Amino acid sequence: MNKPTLQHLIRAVVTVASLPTIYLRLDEAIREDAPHREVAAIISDDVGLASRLLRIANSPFYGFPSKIDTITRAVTIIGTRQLAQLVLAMSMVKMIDEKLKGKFDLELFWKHSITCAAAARLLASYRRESNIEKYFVAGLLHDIGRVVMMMVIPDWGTRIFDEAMESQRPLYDVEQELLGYDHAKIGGELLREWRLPPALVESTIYHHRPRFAKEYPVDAALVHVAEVISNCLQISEGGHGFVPALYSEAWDQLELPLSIIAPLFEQLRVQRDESVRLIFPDRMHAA
Amino acid sequence: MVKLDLVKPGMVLSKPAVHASSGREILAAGRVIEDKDIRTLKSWGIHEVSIEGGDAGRYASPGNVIPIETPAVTDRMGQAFRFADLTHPLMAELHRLAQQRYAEYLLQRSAGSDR
Repeated sequence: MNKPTLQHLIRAVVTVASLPTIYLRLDEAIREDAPHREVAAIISDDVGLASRLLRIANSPFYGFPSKIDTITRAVTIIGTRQLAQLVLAMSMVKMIDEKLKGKFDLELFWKHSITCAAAARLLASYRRESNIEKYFVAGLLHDIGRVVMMMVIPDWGTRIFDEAMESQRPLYDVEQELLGYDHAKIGGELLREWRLPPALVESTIYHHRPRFAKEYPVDAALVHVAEVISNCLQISEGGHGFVPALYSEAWDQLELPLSIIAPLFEQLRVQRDESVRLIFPDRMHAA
Repeated sequence: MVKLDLVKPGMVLSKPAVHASSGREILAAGRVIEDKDIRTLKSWGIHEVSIEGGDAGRYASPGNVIPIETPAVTDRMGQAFRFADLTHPLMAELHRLAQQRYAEYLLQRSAGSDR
C-alpha cells in the first residue's frame, strides 16, 4: 500500500464535502450582527433543522419553563453564537452520516463523540464559559480525522485499528508510525481547510498532546480532559478499551476543583443520553 | 434541593446544611459528602440538601450498594486504567467513580439476565 499524504486526504474530502451553506450564511449574518429575525429566517429555510433546533430549545439543556414554539424565540433564548454552533454540530453529523453510511461503525463513533462533546460542554459550564456549545462542537468533532481515514483510505484505517487493538497501543501512536501523522492532525487540517475557527482547529489537532497547542492551550486541554473522562464513563458502562493517559498539566490549566468531578460524572450520563436523543431522535439507544 | 436518599458520597454541598429549628449549621457549603455525613444529616432530621452541579443529584439512582472490591470490578477497571497515573488526583477520582459505576452496571446486567 502506498503511503497517502496528508494533503491527499484533505483534498479528497474537500472535493466531495463542503460546509453546509446554511452554516456559512448563518455565520456571516452573525458576524454582521444581523437582527434575530434575520437569523431566524435563515434557519427557517431548512425545515428539518428548524424543528430540531426547537427540540433543543425545549430540552432540559435550556430548561426554559414555557414552551418555545418559534425560531425567533429560540434564537433569543439560545443566543446567536451558540445557535450557530448547534447548527454546525447538526449539519456535520448529517454530512458525516451521509458520506459514511455502511462503511464504518458509525454508532460507536457517534457514541464516543457525543459523550466527549457532552463532557466538554460540562467542563466549559463549570468554567463558566460564555459559549458552552462551542465546546460541545469541539468534543463532537475531535475525532473527525478518523472519519476522513475511513472515507478516503479505509484499508489503512482498518489496518491501523487492528494493529492498535492487537498491540494495545493508542491509535494515534500507530497512525504516527505508519503514516507519519495522526487522526488528530487530519481532522484539524480539514477543519482549517473549511475555515472553521482557529480554536476549534487547535483543540482538534492537539487533543492528545494539549501541551503543544500554541494559541488555544485551554481549549485543547479541555477537549483532552473531556476525552479522558468520557472514556472512563464509557468503560464503566461496559465499553471496551482503556483510559488514555492524562497530561497532568491539562487538568491544572482548567483551574477547576476536584470536587466537580463526581457530580459531573453523574450529569454526563444524563446529558450524553439527552444529547443522543436530540441528535438521533429515531435511531440510537444511549449507552 | 436533593432528597437525602439520592445523595451519594462524592457529591458536594452547594449550600450549608442547616438544622431548621435551631438554625445550626451541620455541614458547610463546599463539603464533599462522605457516608458518615449522610448518617449525620439523617440523625439531625435533615431530609434534603443543596448539591453542587444543579440537579445532578436528581438523576442519581438509589438502590443497592455494590462492593467495588469485587474481583470482576477491580480486574476490569485495573486493566482499563493500566496506563493511568492513579497518583494524580483527577485519575484517582475518575478511577473511583468508574469502579462504582461499573459495579452498578454489572448489577443491572445480572438483574437483566435474571428476567
